[in-house]
Amino acid sequence: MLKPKELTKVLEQANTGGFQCTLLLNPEGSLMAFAGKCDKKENITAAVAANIWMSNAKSAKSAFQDEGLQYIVMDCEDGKVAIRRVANLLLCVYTAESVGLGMLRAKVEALARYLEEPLKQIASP
Amino acid sequence: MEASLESQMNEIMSQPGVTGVLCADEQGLALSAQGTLTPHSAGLVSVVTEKACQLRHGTEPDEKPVVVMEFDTGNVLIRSHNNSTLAVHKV
Repeated sequence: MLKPKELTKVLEQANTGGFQCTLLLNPEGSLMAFAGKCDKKENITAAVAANIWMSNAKSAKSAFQDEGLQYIVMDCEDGKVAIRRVANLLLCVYTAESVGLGMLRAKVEALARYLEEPLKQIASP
Repeated sequence: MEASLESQMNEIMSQPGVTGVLCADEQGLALSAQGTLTPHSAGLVSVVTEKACQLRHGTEPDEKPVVVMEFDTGNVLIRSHNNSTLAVHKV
């Protein structure tokens, strides 16, 4: 089964070179694990990220009629944010403004690939 | 996670005459940038090498050209490899 301590360690690996915080949450916005400097706002961040994901996922489904939303990348004034579906959960990463979008995408993709199989075992369908 | 890439970038930057280095992914998004080349150039660099590949007549299909752009301030050398593109600004 999934080891919570190991899960945090895996998320922590992404927090280098301007990557500030990595969160794993469910689609309802409840935080499952996080790593990094979130200024004690990790729960709020998780809720906001889930809210953004859910509202965009609904729009994407009706607009494109495909399998569903895979990625959200936001280039904000003070940094960048990426949200990606992993199994039935959401992976949210936010970084400093200086981080390239390619690096953000590559790290999120690497984390998602690594976590996909273990999380499938615990996530409800 | 990106330590090896950053170490390679630092090594390129330490070469004589190199003022900037940029690495972009296959979608033209910046993986890393240092010096005079900024992440905003990633898309352009990626497209230049992609267009250059279309000019390869009589070469091996996998052979990637090195694109050299000459400016008054120096040269920008661009080459793609696998899924990434590297640009180096030399004076």
